[in-house]
Amino acid sequence: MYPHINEPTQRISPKATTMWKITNSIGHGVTLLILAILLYVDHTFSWIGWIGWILYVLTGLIFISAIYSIWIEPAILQRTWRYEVDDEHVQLKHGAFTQTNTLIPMTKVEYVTTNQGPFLRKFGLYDIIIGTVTSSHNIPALPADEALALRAKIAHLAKIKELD
Amino acid sequence: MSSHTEYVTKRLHPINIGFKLINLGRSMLFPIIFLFIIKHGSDSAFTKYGRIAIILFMVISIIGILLNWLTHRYEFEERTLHIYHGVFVKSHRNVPLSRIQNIQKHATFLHRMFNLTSITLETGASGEEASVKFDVISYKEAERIEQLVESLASDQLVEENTILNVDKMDEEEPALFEKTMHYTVSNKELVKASFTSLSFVAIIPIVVSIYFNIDEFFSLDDVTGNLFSIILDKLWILIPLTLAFLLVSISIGLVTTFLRYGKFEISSDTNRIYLKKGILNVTSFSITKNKVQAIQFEQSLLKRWFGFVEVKLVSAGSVGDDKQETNSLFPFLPIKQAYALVEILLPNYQINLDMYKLPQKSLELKLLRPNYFWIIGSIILFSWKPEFWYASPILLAIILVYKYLVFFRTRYLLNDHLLQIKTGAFTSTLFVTDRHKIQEIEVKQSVLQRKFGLANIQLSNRGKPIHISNIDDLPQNIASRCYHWYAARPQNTK
Repeated sequence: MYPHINEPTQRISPKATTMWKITNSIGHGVTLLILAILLYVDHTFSWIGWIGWILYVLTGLIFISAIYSIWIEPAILQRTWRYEVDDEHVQLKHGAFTQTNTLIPMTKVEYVTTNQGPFLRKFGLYDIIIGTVTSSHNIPALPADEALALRAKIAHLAKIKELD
Repeated sequence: MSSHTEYVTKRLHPINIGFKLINLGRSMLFPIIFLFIIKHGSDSAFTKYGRIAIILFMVISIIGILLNWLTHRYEFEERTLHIYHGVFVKSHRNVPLSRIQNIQKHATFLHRMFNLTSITLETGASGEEASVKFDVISYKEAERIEQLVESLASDQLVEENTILNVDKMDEEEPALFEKTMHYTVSNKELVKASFTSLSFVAIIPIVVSIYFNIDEFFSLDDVTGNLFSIILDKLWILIPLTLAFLLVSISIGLVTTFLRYGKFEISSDTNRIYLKKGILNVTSFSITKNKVQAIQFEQSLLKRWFGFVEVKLVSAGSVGDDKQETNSLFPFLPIKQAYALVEILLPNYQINLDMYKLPQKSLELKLLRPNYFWIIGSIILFSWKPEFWYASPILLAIILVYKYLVFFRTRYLLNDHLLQIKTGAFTSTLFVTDRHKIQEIEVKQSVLQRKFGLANIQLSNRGKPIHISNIDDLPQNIASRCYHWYAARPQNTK
């Protein structure tokens, strides 16, 4: 990265791309379906003019967003996600266009959990959620064994507490 | 240190029963008057059963109050406050004293007549169980609790900071509770505060609301009409009238300011800072020095003109209603005195006012960045009301001036273990925090910022609500330096 911050080394599972393609397709599909129903109702009951107008604009926007978040975003997100956990810190980096680097000292970590929804389970993946007093952070789509080992590691390291 | 380890289980002061009974009486006053006095002669089913219901309710409530008082006990043991209560469902709550973030005492006039106070111990937890409150407690007992919390907290400091000398543990520290007074407010300052806070304007809404309230019952239209014609006849009447109005409003402003901030005191001992204020109702706030999460210097436009600043101690526990300014060192401190005071109270916070400005290219980027609010606003304006086209450039001008002010007033400094951030276009806030109190850091860079070599940083601190501080469009090398500065925080405790 351009500002001199060492890039974290670990990457998330390559399966994430396919999974996000599927979940985003479903999400956008459902939204488009709802809009289609609304448009149909609009036509049959001839609602006031501007409602149809807004519906068309929305449909267009969702369509563009669908192209981006199904064919472009998942691969970029998967490629740019990095994390690293050492004795003292958790480091996260993500985003292609807007890059975000996050640093959490181990002593400030309050809890760590693994999370697995139906799609993650299908792909044998886990999300890891790292919480501090002020917020929580999500490392998405880690292979099962890696995720469980990481959770154990963070839980162990975070036991070292600091006075506050 | 086992001198203060007598663990006595205590009940609340018996006067709690009195206060609760008064409250019960107050809330039942209207139904009692209605059913027993107004409906005195009536013997309809409604009044009959109503009276029985009220008597039953009162009896049950009184028994409840007594039982509650009997079962509500508390005890300090080791480093924990134990609270037992509940008549049928017994509950036992443990509050580790090290978790207590600040202590607030609030004594109303009624409290003070009997030498009582309420005391609230705030923990950093969220939800209903975040604080322990004793509504009515003798002032002496409140002081004892405050000292207990402090001494146990400092014991722990000695123990956990193994770097400290080990023999110190057996040493009695008599100076621990000896408070030093650092600031008491003078009458002159209170007068100044009264004008700076525009307290004399407070009378206007009061007068207006009184007028409309009376107007509702007796139509005042004729009276006001007559008054206006008299005044228009003899315009000179306006002069004494205005003077009288000014006099009354200023004196009301003075009285409210004196009642609120009168007897303002700031004191401290080895570990703790104490703030106290108020003439009729007395509010106190105390916090262990190492629990201060950050310091905030706030200046409204008016305060800047008068050279005042409000200093707030940021605590991880709740500090109550914002209007009560519980955690504020006097809200109208002269600037120089404010920094001197902070250095005495918190020797760690050696603030350096020689801070850095944002570079020119940061302004360029801020001005260049499209403002969606303006774009969308203009599109709507042109399509709906094109005759008001001039609102669009006016809005743009306001936005650009605002952006310029944000750029012009932003300052930052990495000062050894402190981070100082000053922000705000009109009002200004200087936020100072210690590296150890920052919970996490985030460096963010958009594509446009990458072209300009700029980045945003965001820091989170504990507080209620959580304190997020941002510096936008900072040179990227400074941003990464902040990141490394934070990463290099020494791990001083195991």
